[in-house]
Amino acid sequence: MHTSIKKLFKKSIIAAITLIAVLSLGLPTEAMAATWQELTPQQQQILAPLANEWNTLPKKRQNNYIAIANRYPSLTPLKQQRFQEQIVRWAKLTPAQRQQAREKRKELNQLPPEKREAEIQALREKHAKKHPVAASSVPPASPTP
Amino acid sequence: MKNKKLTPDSIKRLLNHSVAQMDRTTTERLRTSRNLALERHRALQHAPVQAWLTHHGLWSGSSHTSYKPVYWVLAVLFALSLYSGVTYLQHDRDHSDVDIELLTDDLPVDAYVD
Repeated sequence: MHTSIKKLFKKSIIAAITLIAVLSLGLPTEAMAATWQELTPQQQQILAPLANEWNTLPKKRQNNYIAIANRYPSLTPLKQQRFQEQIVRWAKLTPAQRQQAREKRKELNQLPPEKREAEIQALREKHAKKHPVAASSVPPASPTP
Repeated sequence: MKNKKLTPDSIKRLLNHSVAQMDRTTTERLRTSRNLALERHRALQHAPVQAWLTHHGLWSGSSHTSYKPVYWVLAVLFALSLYSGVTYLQHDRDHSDVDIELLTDDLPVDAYVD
């Protein structure tokens, strides 16, 4: 009896470890937060506009940007170009404004495609009125992203 | 009083002798209890997990009663911690995804905060 219970217990442990491992595959690999000097030259180049504030960022946020930098090479050339433009603007935003932008984007993502496009267009027009030169500097959407 | 060394055989003889002196009602009750104990033993042999829980006091042995509340609480706490851990990691990935979306879109990021 005890032997079968022990076997069952071992099997349960193995099953639990396997389950955790499988779940982990669906989750992002957590990059280790690092100081600016510890980033690779490529990561430094991609995240250059954030260099000044890097060492003051929370580790969680650093990990977020490292993950983004690691994904950068897989972006299309157009998206890479946009990224380089946008990261400069991004660096000028306060943490609260960045969070506001994230929340707004998440809200937009919840909308049906037509309504989302209308909202984005409204934002674009509003921004263009406020910053006529800056709004035209980001490369426009391509028909084949 | 004379001390006799008890052996399995002597115990057996003593028990048989004692049983012979018991009244019918008592022997019937003993028989019923024995049969019940054997039934439970057989049932537990077919359910090793339940047997283990019963042995460690986590299961009362009756199908009408449930686990001790403290184990329910522990199970719920474990499930909650697992859920919050997965949610936390998922939240991080969401941030990364949203940031990439924002930074690769043609809509300037400062348009979201105008």
